[in-house]
Amino acid sequence: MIDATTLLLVVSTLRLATPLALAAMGELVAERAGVLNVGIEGMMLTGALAAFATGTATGSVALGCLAGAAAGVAMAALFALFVLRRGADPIVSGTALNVFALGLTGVVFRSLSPPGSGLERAPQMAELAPGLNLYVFVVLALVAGVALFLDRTRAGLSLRAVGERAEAAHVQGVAVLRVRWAAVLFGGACAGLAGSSLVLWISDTFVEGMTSGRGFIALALVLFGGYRPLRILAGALLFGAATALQYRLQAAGSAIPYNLLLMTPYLLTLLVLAVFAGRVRAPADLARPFSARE
Amino acid sequence: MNHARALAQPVVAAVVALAASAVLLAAIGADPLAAFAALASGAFGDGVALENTIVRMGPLLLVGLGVALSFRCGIWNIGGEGQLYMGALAATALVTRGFGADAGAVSLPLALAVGTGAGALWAGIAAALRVRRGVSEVLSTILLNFIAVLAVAWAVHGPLQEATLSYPQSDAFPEAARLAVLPGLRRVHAGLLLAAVLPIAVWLLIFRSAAGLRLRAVGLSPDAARYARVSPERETTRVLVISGALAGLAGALEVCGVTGRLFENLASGYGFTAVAVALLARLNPLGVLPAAFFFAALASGSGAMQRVAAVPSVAVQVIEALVIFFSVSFALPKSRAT
Amino acid sequence: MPRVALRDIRKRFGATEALRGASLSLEPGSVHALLGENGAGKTTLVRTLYGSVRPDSGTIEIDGRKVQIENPSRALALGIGMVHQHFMLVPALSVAENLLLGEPGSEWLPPRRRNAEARTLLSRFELALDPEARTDTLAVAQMQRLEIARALARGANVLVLDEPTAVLAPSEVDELLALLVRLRDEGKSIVLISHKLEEITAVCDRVTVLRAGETVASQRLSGLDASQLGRLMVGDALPPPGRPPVVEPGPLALALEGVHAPGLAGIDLELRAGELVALAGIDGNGQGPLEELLAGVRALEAGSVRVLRPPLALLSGDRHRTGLVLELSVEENLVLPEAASGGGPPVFSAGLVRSAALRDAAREAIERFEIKARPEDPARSLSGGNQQKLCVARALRVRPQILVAVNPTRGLDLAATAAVREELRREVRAGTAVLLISTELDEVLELGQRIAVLFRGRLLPVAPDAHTREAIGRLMLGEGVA
Repeated sequence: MIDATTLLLVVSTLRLATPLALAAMGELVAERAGVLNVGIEGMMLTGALAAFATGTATGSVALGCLAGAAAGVAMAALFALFVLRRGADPIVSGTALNVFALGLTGVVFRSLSPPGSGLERAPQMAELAPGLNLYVFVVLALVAGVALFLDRTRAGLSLRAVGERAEAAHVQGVAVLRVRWAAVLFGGACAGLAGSSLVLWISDTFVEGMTSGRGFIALALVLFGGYRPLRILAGALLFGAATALQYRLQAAGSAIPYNLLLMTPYLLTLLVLAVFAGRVRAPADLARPFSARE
Repeated sequence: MNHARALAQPVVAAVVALAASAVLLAAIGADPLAAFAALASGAFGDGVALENTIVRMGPLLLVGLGVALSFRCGIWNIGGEGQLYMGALAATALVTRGFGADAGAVSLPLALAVGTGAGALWAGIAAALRVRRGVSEVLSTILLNFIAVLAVAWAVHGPLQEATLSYPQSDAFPEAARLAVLPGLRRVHAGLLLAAVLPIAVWLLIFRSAAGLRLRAVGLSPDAARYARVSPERETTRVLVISGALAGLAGALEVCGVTGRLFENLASGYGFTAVAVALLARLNPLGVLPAAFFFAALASGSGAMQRVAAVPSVAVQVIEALVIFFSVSFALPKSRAT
Repeated sequence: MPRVALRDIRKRFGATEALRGASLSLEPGSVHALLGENGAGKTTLVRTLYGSVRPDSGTIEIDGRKVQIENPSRALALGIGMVHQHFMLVPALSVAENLLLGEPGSEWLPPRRRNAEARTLLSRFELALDPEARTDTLAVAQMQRLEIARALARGANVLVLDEPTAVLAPSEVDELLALLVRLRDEGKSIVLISHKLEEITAVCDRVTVLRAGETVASQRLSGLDASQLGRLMVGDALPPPGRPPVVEPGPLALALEGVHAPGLAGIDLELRAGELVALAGIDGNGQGPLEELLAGVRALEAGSVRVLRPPLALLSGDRHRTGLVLELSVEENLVLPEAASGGGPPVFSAGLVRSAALRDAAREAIERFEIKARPEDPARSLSGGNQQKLCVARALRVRPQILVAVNPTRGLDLAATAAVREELRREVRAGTAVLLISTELDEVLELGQRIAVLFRGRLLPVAPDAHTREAIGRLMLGEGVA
């Protein structure tokens, strides 16, 4: 028999792992296509605000999810415009996108709910059982779908080839830039959905900068998982569990100061990177621009 | 590239970014012209406003120089904010808990030196992770930002909290550890004189020294650099440590010259703004001065913009991001894979 | 009616006119030689046919119909296949994945079906390859066959091979040429880019000669001998080949003993002052690791490298990647090694650049090595020959006692080649110990006082009376090696 504390821990692990797994799965697809997207933090944040605004306006969780994903796609399109169309550096562009999202969501949020107005609550995704709802199934479907797609479809083969050696894929007739656009937009949708889960499940409101580095943790998870969907899921669960445990300690009134406990996910991410980053072989053409025409 | 174009591009990028933000402001129902007017008067409407802008320019200039230096070596130090926080934290610890208060005349130089060292060390972690463990500095410096911000929060709630325990902030610095305000001025402190010197020093370092040739070679082609017996690892470490030292110095100057104590949100977002500064300056140290002034004006005018034109001050971040976007579409610095 | 006709193609890259009215016409069932010096525009011309270069003007006709070839997909659909000089395979993917990449078919392609489909194709083209093997584990000749098979699997009627024999051993060349003849007899049109005259006379029916981007001849091959072809290619009579410098070797300068590293399986080598030792061999037999080892960027696993007469300078085999920092200026590239060692006089003083001294150093090098550039020009803007001269100038700036030159004339025109080779001879006469690592057999024969062959990471010595193409060619294949 599972006692109540353990159950709470499991539930909270699933909740906290969900946005990480969603965002990391999107990042995985983008990186396997050769695009390093350091803008997922911003895409998540925008998705969270879109989900909040739509959710509170319509009262519909489903519309909130869709709006979150759509906002992620819109931000991803902006990123792709600079990186894929203009050939701008992905790291600078991703950083700019994160700052842009921080400013944009701040402006829009403040104009939606001016300071002093009552705090609105977003509708919540119903749970079938504690810790189990549509988000969890979306994560599982996404992990399975991405794994099957990469390994067992012709399009997945093209996508991997584009990430490994874009030029070689190009001369075999693969439309490199189209593949990369699709991968980035898909990554944006996943990040936006991840953002929506923050508002529609984990917390019921929007807070400026509420993603607080989850996008970067998702980036690290892709490395931790060695670019494999199942291992990335395992990594997300591990991070979810670590964060849940830290919240438990806080709630239990631990002697460790609150601010130091809050460092846990970042320290853990650094540790994970220190152990795994050097061992993992990234797609060979990751973050290399491609131009078809001479 | 001819000089006129080199000068024109950043101006065009800034203007286009402002125009694009005007469209966005109009879209949320604000009056862009009124907002910009309020912003301008808040930034340099009178002597006090102008001094505020110059004071804000200090940290942006130092961190921006560090970013420009590291980007020249193909290293994306996005951790300026964390390095600045650690510099401020170390200086505060020394002044309020160490021997700094009793050290008399040396307490100020000591505080600045310790802050500089702390920033260098904090960036050194990212350097070691990259060189020894293959961790991209983009991720590590961002993660270290979060940790540094929390470390400051912890410190001002805990070990460094003021004696009266009323607010989460440190004790005020004694006079001996404070930078003097320049004669005839109200806020501009002596540390800002560095702003006149450092861009030239960093320019000499990058373009007129053996070390600068090495670091540029590494940034442009690590393979060719290695064949010329330049060690990319050593240059990477050196550049990150120097840029961290500049940010750490900025943090120490902030507590010793401006605030006189440590508290949370000391300089939040400065790391990212510094990236915008460096890119708008097209990674040229001499351009960092005007670029830092531009962003400092945005930041110091944003309060007035919010008060007068009811446009949230965070709108400034939108402008910042747009400047980065438009800068990178003109000049294309490239990052170096790990 | 020709199957393919390229007419009056022009293409400009920045300041250089790569093609200035090039034409090429291909008949079914023929092997067509495309001949020309390095830089004559052969590769650019066939890339317009493959859709990876868009011509500025000119027309392309396939079976009498005018076509636009915007991209490689279009070329593939028109039945044009290409075997690139640098293979266009994805190293990290399996043989099957490379074979099926871009091939239309049902979307669902699990590994089992992928491998089965690949096996069918491989057996159709009589290729004994494991479909599950990672492509980067294949030998060079196998990769080439995989590329040919892939082009044929996509239904190519026209097959373009860009210098396919440069990477092959002589017996592998014979096999490839036999395959081309077989494909011709099946009715394919084959374009063979080469500047090896004997290969062309062996299998080709027709020849088109490019010179400086222009078609200067296009005719049946019968009746032309090698020297006539050579004259068509270079315009004037071929320059007389040089002879190895004759100098009495001096004291030992460089000694390698039992050197092991990834790709090197026990190298013993002694190099004396005033001696030029040339290492022949097919690419991929240890040239890269040996260069990296001597450049100091790769560590030894076992054995020793002793530099008895420093300094050692290295002329890298890859100007663009490791030889130069292309975005830095001529003068900055020239003094980069000095900056690396901390910076000393005359160019640096207290770690800072002395601008006048830097400019002087650059002017001196430009004059002495006849580099057509200004000191402040970025290295990228120089032609290949001038870039290589800059590399030579930089290597000689340290007054080396040992000079290692790796493929020092790859990709250079005849004049630049002659200049670089003369520079190496001059160094030998001045008492420098020179180690030449070259995949160009003629270069090895022209310059090497002593010759050895790199084969699978080991050195096979060549007896002084066996300095002939045939004898060395046999060793390059490892004949007589246990």
